[in-house]
Amino acid sequence: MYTLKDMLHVKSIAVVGASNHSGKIGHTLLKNIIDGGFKGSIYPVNIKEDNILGYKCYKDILSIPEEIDLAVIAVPAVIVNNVIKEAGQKGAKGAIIISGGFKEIGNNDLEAEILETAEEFGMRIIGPNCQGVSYTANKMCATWPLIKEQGFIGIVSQSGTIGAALSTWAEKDEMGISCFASLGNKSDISETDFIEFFAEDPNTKVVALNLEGIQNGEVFVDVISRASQKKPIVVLKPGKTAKGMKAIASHTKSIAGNDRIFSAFCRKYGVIRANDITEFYDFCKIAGSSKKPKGNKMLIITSSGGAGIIATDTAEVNGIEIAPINEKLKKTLEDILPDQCVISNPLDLTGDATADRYDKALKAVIDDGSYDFLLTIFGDPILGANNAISKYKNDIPIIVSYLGGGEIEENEVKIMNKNNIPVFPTPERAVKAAKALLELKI
Amino acid sequence: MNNVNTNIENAEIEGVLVVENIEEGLECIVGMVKDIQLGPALMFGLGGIFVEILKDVSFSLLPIDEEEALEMIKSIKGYELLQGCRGNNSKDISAIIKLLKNVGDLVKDNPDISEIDINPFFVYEEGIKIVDARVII
Repeated sequence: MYTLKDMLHVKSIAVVGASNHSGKIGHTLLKNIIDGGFKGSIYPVNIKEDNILGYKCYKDILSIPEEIDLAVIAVPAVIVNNVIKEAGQKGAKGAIIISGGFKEIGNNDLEAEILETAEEFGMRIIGPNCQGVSYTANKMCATWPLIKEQGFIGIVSQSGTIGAALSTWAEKDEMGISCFASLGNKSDISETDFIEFFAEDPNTKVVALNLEGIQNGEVFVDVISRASQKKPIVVLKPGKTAKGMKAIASHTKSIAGNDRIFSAFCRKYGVIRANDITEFYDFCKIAGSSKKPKGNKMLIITSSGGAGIIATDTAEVNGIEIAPINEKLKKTLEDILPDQCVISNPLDLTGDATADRYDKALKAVIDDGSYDFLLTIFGDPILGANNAISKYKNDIPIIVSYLGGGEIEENEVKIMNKNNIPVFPTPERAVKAAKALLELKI
Repeated sequence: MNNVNTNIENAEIEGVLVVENIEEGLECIVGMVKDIQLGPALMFGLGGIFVEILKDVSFSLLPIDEEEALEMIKSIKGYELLQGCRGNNSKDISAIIKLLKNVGDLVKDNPDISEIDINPFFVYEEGIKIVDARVII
């Protein structure tokens, strides 16, 4: 039996149902595999075509002159079984089945059939009825949209769109992803296979898990309890109300619903739970780029008084302590900072603050050692902000919010994203992300 | 007992239930439910309006250790009531921890139990007393 890892570290791919017509999924898949920069062999398969996107096209898998490692399949459901069989005969380790028309519309037998065929050859199946997989370390973008940027987030998503949204944001931020997998019907490979893979995968630093339901609870709990000790896990699971629950016997059960128990589960294993798609992205970003702070004492360093107040409010609500500056540190800061700076928490470096002023303040605060983590707000176009943060980011977790900085901000944020500095467009998002770090147990 | 038959002629007396008349303490609730996928979970909260109206309760998946039990107790919004406030002394939190752990053990040793409500129990400055409990098999 091959493993998921075998399916992702492939050297040759057959795209079955590849098409010359842009707009068709078979065209998009082949184009993304090519444009993604896949280094191995690519074999389009389509009985009607001789050539697609400059690649020789084969009538069927068996006509391909070499062995293949992976089949990406986008053909009508009724012929998928035969394709799997041919792929198996050609040595494929797995197949990604994009095609729909299986269990999701009641064709259980058809789905059972392809599984049986795959099993004969030890092949693994992702899908059917899924949006495919991208594994950037192997430049294998067998999905859409095209994602090229290699990064540290490993995404496994029940919903293709939510995973694709995360990938798109990560691409735009030049932060990238390590993997995006959409699972569809999960006939063989499920979330737990990917979680286990990510836990060991050197390219993945944080696991992003979008769940709609849990199927095999015992396995799920076991896999999460082990994986959460190795890598941070961020989960987005829409809440389920008690609606539809059968006769409610006890008081306890009527309060519990399903959702509060799931939250308790997350807390127990240090899994970060996101409430919405924005948090899902933000929490992945921070969990992959920052260590867990030792405690909950935070200092806010800002050039904007207004943004500092908003950060303080959000911190208060989220149980983060905005502890006052001690006398010794106060004295040090008074000596090194200009008179107009407000030496308190938030530490207001005021609107004419330069990266150099941040640098001095950061050094003094880190030397003092009273705080567990720092929120640095750049509320003006401050050039070189990224250098000041890069210099100290290994000494203490530093979370950044950059806003109101126009073109300079755009450039600085880009560099920060590239350098794995957790930067957010608003102080609220930065503080909530900081809070998420505290939920980790590693 | 003597004048029962004077008042109701045909009354048949099968027995008498005698219970302790206990002093009122701070009302709390402990419960257990089983999630089909995630397994048994404990619930803790303050009783009365806190649980009925405000749903101020916390959950923890079993098994739990003492640290997790304390975390459960601390994480309800009404925790200050247990710490003592408005002229009341602090309550016996370690007794609640013991109860949570014991309920956890009970569930572990008796997998047939599907739900538990200990509602209410009173917590005092020293010790707790269970007033009513229901175990569903």
